[in-house]
Amino acid sequence: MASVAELKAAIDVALQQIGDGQSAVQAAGEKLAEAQQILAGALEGSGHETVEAAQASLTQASQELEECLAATLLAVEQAQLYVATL
Amino acid sequence: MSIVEDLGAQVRAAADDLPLGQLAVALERFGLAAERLRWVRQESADPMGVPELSSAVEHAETAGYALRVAQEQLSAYLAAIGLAADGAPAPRTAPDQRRPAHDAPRTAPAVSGAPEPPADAPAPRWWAVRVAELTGGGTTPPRPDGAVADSGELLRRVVREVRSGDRDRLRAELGRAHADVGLGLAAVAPPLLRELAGELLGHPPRAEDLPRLRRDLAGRVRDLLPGLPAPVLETLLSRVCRMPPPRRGDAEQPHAADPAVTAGVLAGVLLDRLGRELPTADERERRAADGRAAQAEAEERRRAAAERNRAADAEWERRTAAARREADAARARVAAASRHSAEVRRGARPGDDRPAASGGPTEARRDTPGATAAGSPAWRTPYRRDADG
Repeated sequence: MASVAELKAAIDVALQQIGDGQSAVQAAGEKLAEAQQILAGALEGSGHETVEAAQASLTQASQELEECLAATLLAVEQAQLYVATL
Repeated sequence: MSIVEDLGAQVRAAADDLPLGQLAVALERFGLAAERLRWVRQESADPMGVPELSSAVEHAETAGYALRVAQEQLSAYLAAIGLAADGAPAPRTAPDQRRPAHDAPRTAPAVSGAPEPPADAPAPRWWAVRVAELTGGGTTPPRPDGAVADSGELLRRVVREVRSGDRDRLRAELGRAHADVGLGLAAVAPPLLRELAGELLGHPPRAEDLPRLRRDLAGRVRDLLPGLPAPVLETLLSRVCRMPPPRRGDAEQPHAADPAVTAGVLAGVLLDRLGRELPTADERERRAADGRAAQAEAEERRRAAAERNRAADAEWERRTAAARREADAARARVAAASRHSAEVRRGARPGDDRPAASGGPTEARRDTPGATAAGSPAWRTPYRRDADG
């Protein structure tokens, strides 16, 4: 049977892992924004449909990253609330 | 480098730099955290943020998919504007290919129709003249050699002479090739360069690897090609690292032969550093196929694991709901038992001198559904069993 200390330690490790993941998602978001900016400059004036589709895909990826980050914030909040009740 | 090649390099660099690596790291971390939290919550009925974490994983997976789609769309765009996958010019089809009349291969049909622009035919054997300039002077064969029939064969010969370190023989091999075969080095060598540089570095070349590649390779290339303008090698190494090439004015545009010769020599230098032979086309295709298969397998494993985790989440939710229902039922039974005990106490005759411990409420509790013989609350057992199980 697990003790409260074990529970807290395990949740702390999980929170640390979520934090690492959040950092990676943030870095991905920054890199994606940079790529979008470079592509917007390079492909300015192009009416090619694949360019528009690629830019739409990148916008979607950016939104998904934001939602991913928001979901992890909620997860962290839930886990921290639980730890506070232990 | 032409404007369209410059554009291609920028688009390719941006597409290659899309943050799929960071997303993979994030997914791995979230997966580990979810696994740990799932283990923890086997001891508790609290969700602890696991459903939210599953949702985050789904968003990250969708983002990764969107990035891969964007990469494919950008590749399609590059192909549509005539650039091959690595940003180099796509090999032109025979009818479109312009061949200088003075340097055309022996098998080439006679040039007819519109005359070539004068700039394309400045002098006889311009290819051999430029090769001689790049390799530091000397003489080149006056006539092209039909034995070097394609760019792959020329690359093999260049690699051999680079390994020998003999600049005169390198000049001779390059100089005896037809111009179109020599220019073809710019198409066959660059994909190999990135692969070999990756082997040298231990990872796919990135922007931060440019100084190291410059330090490790530039000296040897300059020894073999003392007449090479520095920006040509810098551009080539930048493209290996998927970086935009350095900007330069029209006056600094390199000679058409320079990128091709440099790519061939750089491939030879890299192969020599690695102690490897030039891979055949079959070997390269097989290696690429193996890489694609391994990537697909890893993706499939990750997807299956995510699916299993989602199924485990769903099962956990179902069991938690069942446990809550049983807990509610147990509470209702306890409440009923309490009410029944109270009624029994109210209905007991005053002055009854029987000991309460051996009769009365205890007897009634034993008769109450949901109460155990030992007197412990009946809701605990199913609740704990289910919560633990």
